[in-house]
Amino acid sequence: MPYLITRMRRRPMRCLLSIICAAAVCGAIFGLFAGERSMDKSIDAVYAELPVKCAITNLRGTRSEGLNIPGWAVNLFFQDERYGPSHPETIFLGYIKEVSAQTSIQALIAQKPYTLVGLTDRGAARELADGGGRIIVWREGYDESFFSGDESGCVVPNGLSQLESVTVEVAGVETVTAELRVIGTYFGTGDKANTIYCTWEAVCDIELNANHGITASSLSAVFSDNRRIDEFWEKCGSKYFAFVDPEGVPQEWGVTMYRYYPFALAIYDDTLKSTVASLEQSKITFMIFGDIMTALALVFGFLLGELITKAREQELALQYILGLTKSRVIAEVMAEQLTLSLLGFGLAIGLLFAAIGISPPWLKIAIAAAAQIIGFLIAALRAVGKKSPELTKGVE
Amino acid sequence: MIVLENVSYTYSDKSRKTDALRGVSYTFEEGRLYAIMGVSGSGKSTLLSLIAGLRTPTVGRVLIDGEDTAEIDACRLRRDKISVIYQELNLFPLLTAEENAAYPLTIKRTPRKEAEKRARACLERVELKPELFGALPKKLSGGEQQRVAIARTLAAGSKIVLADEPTGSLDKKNGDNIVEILQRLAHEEKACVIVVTHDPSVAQRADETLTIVDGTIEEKQ
Repeated sequence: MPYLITRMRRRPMRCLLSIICAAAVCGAIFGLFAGERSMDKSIDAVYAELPVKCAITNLRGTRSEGLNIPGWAVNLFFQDERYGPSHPETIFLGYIKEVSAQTSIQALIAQKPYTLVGLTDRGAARELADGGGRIIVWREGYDESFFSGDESGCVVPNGLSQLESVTVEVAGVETVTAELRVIGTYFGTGDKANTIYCTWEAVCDIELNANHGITASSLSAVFSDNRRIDEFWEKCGSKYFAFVDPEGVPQEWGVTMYRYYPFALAIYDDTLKSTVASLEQSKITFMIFGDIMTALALVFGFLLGELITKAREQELALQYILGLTKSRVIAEVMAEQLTLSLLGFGLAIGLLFAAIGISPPWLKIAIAAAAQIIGFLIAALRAVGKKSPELTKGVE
Repeated sequence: MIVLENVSYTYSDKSRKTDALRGVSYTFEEGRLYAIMGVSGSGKSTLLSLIAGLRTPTVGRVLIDGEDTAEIDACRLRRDKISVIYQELNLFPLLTAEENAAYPLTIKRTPRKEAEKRARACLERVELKPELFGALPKKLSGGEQQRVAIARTLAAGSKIVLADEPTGSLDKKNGDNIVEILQRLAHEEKACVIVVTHDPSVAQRADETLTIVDGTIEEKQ
């Protein structure tokens, strides 16, 4: 390669143009790949962080509270044999977390009727949730984590706030009496001023003793892995629950227990789906532009090659006249362009790696580099591959 | 030695064929300066292209030292035996005079330092001013550029030098100098120098002058 570097050094602008073109192609591919990766990360983050709930509802999906959910269904969420028969396919717990449930039972306190409500968490009762209208004032040493425990305490209406404990009597198959320590008082208006809130465990114990079974009035959970929601529905959910049908048409269940599904399971994943769909769309856009850019590398290479070989026609002809074979003439042109392209690609990769810190898409970049070189080679072959008289016409 | 055996060359394009050379036979000897004259389009430059292996005869053979140019590697022929000098556009625009003169040696893989040393010696022989050795062609006059092209021929050690109108763009003084150098090349280096020219003064200094008329050699002097 006689005087390759010397000649490159003496046409800095043309070399710079080649380096910039290569860097632009590589930078665009790397940048679009970074965009694609960023969408992937966002999708992962959405799947990981966006809480998606499922809840047992009526068939129309219009009501998720005040239901009469039997023990077998409760057991699907809790996997506790005390609540009902267990099912071999019961693997709900592999898919869900943060089960939120409410159960209620009628009780008497000093001959007055009260509703005893058992909660797994404060949010299981809409009226106690944020903005629900009722505020709890806890006694010393207690807070809302009380509901997730199994203590026999209770939160009473303001009217019973002076009591240290209450004795409840529940009449079922058997009559059960229990003493509950008052650990908090609630204020606020509503139609449940005769409600007493306890832990889920405490009310379940009373209910199991009184009726030998439990029913839940609401039952919901959060998915532990949002990517497995469809799998959950296919493998587990659809075996026990109907899908929500706005028409509320009973759907055949086909098990001996019931002819039709008694409940539906609503999965509140609309936000997840729309967010992921939008991110996926952006990712596809980045991918398509990345592929277009890779294809354009071929065109860029060809156009650049045409420009450069056109400007060097006399030089190429002279090399041929002085005895360089056509293949050596092409090799020399290619060696120069390859050096400049690699410099451009290296520059773009280095800068972008330093700026965004992700590993470049080596395969795509290799394809783009190859495409650019092939494009240039086609141009070089067109320029040098002519018959001798045509090649040397400019000099002769 | 160059032998032309019944050489014809026809230019073909889509609509017509033109005979540039018709049955030319001639032998060019080493150590002589030949001038080829003729009107434009008579086939002079075509003849040089055929000898240089840049074209292949339509009919007949061109033999260089007994080898048919149509059958041997023409690139090797030009690299080892033949140098071509044109009226202009003879030099690489991005190489200095010295690098241009050294070019044939570098393509033969002669070590760079040795090639440049020999190139400098050749540039001195064609009497180019030493301060111009490092100049790019655009800084040289037409005559100086032709001297560099001849120095390149000397450096290559070619025994056949083909010059197509080498003085065509030069003034008389510079033209005479170039012809003198070519003459020395033929007589001192024992090269076969063939000069295509319109200039009768060049022809006067040649050992032999051929005139081509309508593709055939009409006269020999």
